[in-house]
Amino acid sequence: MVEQEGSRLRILGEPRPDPADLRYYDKLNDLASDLAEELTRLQQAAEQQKVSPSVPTNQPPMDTRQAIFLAEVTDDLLSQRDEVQRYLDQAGFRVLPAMALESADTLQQALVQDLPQCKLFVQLLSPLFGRHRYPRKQYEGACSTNIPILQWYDPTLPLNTVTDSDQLALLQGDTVLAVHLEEFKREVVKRASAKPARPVQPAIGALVLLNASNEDDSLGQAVAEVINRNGVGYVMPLRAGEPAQIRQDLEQRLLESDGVIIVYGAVTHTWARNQVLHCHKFMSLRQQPLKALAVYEGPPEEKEDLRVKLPGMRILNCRKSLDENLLREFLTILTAGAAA
Amino acid sequence: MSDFPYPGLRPFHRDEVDIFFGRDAQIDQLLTRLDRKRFLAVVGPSGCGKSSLVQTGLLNALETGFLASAGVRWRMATLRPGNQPLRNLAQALLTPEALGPERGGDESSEAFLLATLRRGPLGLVEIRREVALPQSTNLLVLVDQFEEIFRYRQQYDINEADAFVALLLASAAQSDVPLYVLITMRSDFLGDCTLFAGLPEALNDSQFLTPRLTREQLQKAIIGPARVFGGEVEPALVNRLLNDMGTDPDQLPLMQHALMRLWNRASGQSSVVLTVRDYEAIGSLKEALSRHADEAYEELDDAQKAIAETLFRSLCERSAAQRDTRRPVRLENVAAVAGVTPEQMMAVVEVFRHPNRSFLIPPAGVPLKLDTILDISHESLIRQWQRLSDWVEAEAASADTYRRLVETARLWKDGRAALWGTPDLEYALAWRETQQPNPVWAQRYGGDFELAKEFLDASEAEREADRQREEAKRQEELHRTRLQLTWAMERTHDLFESHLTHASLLARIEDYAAARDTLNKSRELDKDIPADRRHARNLLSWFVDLKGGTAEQVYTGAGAALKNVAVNPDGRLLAAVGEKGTVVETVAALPGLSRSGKMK
Repeated sequence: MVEQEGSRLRILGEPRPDPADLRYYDKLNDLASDLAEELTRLQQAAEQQKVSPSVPTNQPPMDTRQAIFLAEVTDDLLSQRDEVQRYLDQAGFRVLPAMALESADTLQQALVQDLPQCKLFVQLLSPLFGRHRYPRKQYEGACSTNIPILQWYDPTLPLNTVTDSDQLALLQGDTVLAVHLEEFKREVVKRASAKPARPVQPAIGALVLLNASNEDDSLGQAVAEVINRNGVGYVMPLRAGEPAQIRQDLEQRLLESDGVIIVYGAVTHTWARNQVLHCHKFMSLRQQPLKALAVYEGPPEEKEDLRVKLPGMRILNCRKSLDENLLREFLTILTAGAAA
Repeated sequence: MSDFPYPGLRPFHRDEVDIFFGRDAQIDQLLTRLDRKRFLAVVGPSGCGKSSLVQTGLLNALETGFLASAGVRWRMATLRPGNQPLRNLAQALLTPEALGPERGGDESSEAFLLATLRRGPLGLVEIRREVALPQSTNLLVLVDQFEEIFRYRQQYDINEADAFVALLLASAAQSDVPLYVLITMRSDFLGDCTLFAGLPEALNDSQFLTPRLTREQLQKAIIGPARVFGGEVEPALVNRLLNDMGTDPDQLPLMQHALMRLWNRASGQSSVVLTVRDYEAIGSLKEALSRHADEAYEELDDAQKAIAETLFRSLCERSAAQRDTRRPVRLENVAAVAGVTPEQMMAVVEVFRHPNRSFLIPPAGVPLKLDTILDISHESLIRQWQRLSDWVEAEAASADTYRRLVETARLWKDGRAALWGTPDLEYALAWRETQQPNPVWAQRYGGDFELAKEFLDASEAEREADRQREEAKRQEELHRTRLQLTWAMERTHDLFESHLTHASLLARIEDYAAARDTLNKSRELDKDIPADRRHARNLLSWFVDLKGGTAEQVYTGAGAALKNVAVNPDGRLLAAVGEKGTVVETVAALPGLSRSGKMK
């Protein structure tokens, strides 16, 4: 507490908090953080005015931080909500609604105004359902906007003790995580920071993943020439680099290519077999079904059978020499499928 | 290629790469580290999935060419240290996946390889150098469950254990031949690594602590395999599974087991969808495993249940640090412990290794032989199957009793300990009765079964001898007491008779008062006096009372001193004669009244 004494401020007294009262210092820290934020805002506004004098100083600069909607909670979860808010604030997110929602009107207003700005709806739940069931109302509001939802309850809460059926249904929802709060905070930041999945670029014409190892380099080149001559594009996976790069590249090609040819020439049986198994794994993850899959068996003639056959998989037996007809047949199936 | 989406409790097989989801980033890190040092220790708590991560993830990634610098040609020798680490290494090297094609086929191959391995720490390098492998072929030695070496070192042979570890470290340290060493180990044994020279340093350089799968990775591991097989998992079930798993160290095997059961339940339907309803029906994550194991157990008859108990007790071990771990055993050995034929044991094993259960390995389909090594497919079974937990507890208690017994027996044999008495002996005898130990079982806990038996028998015999001595002593004591009693009785009788004689004499001289006193004294002895003698005393007492007692009626009608009195023969009339004439009165006399009675 201070008062103005001429040109000086006179301190009337100083608070004497209990050093063990962590909640007091949490709140004080919140205040300091808000003050720092406000000072920064004022400074930016002043600098902006120097550049553009027409902009009034009282207009706050646009907050470019990613926004997260942190739903109002029942009284028993207030401190947990504060914790999450601080964590998100420190991680560089803007937490909405900015003010406490004290009435049904302000709650509705926040849902209408703030939710559309947010990347994620975050809600902490407990057995309490709140006055007018406002936790559920907020959740339903979020559901109506298609915003991603992430909810939480304490994993030590035995759900069989929750007597209110509506609240129990809310707690048992698909988007509710029963994890420790720290883990939940990490998950919120992770989800909010996730970049949207790269949309698969539609290939111009059919694209074949031509998967040949270093040991079958020349054989792979020969096959590639045939594919190329037939007007079909091909891509070969990375053969050098960090393991993660090589793997991710192969997986990406398996997800995006229209067809796959695995070259089984001089390379080991296990290599070829593993490539087939990888195909099997990633076929289930593809957005579009694979149009054609073949194992191209090149020289030497003597080789171990792969002992694996996926539905629709063709064996192009070119153990003696390259048979362009077999390859063309495969490419015809592929392009027909691609056109379809 | 896999033929089922979820492996259940067993680790993933090598070629189940198509259903192995969620570990890609970890595999990348393993490859990078292995490339850097050629030695890698994959460490983690039991149940974290490190065996599958290595066997299915890493080894396949190597053969798929994800470690570009090493190429795609790999020979792999996979072993567990077990009870003969160097021999197991030699055998692993002779498999077709390792050096078998070049070094196998000869009966003496194993002996030669073993001899080379025993020569020194570079034995493995020498072997690799001598074998002509195709160009650019790498040799990888994978020691799974490396922690077994600590038990081997403690219980069997320190020198061989040290030599084995030195061999692995020296092989990975050189760069002349392309040789890689990979170990998997439970993280709670990390501290034990300091027992071996050089091992802590190697671990500091090349350790991979297997992380717990993130929620996202777990989600892939749940959904991915189902999709490969054309199935689906309800989103609500995915979330429920993730929430139920929490941070339980057994989370992965429990999850895989529950999913296996769910798939089996749903696979009869036209479209396979795993649902929350089915999940709750199998007992959820909490009870699914225990219930499933109990189902298998309940299929057995009573005799087989006893065999199963012996089997599982043999397959588990509690360490000094109270850690419960797996303990692989030979089939013929565990049959001998149970005292049954190998065929009887095999029948029980088949129930528990059924493809839908996979509680035991080797998996179903692998023929069982006398020398087959049986093992529990995952340690989580020990922790999650309540019945097995109880068996392990009982086995540990039984082992403690035996160890104490055999230790005392050895001391006794050396003359440094006495035979057991109460209560140790009673406890040990009860243990022998319920546990029925035999020499094969005892071998596990240090042998000397015959000595232990001799000690226990001797203790029992000594106790019997003690008992007999005690009995004889007691009998003697009893006899003495009886004698004393007899003597006392005789004295009592004598005293009683003495009182009677004395009283009779007193009565004869008509000293009835003294006679009465004497007879009253005799009453104190009544409890030890036969009835006939008491009646005699009572008769005398009555006579004394009669003779020496007060008259029941006083006749005063004569008014003068009476000189004589008489009673008629039937006792009904009494006549008294006095100085002044005869007075006669008729009264009801008492029967038996003497005619010469004196009256006051």
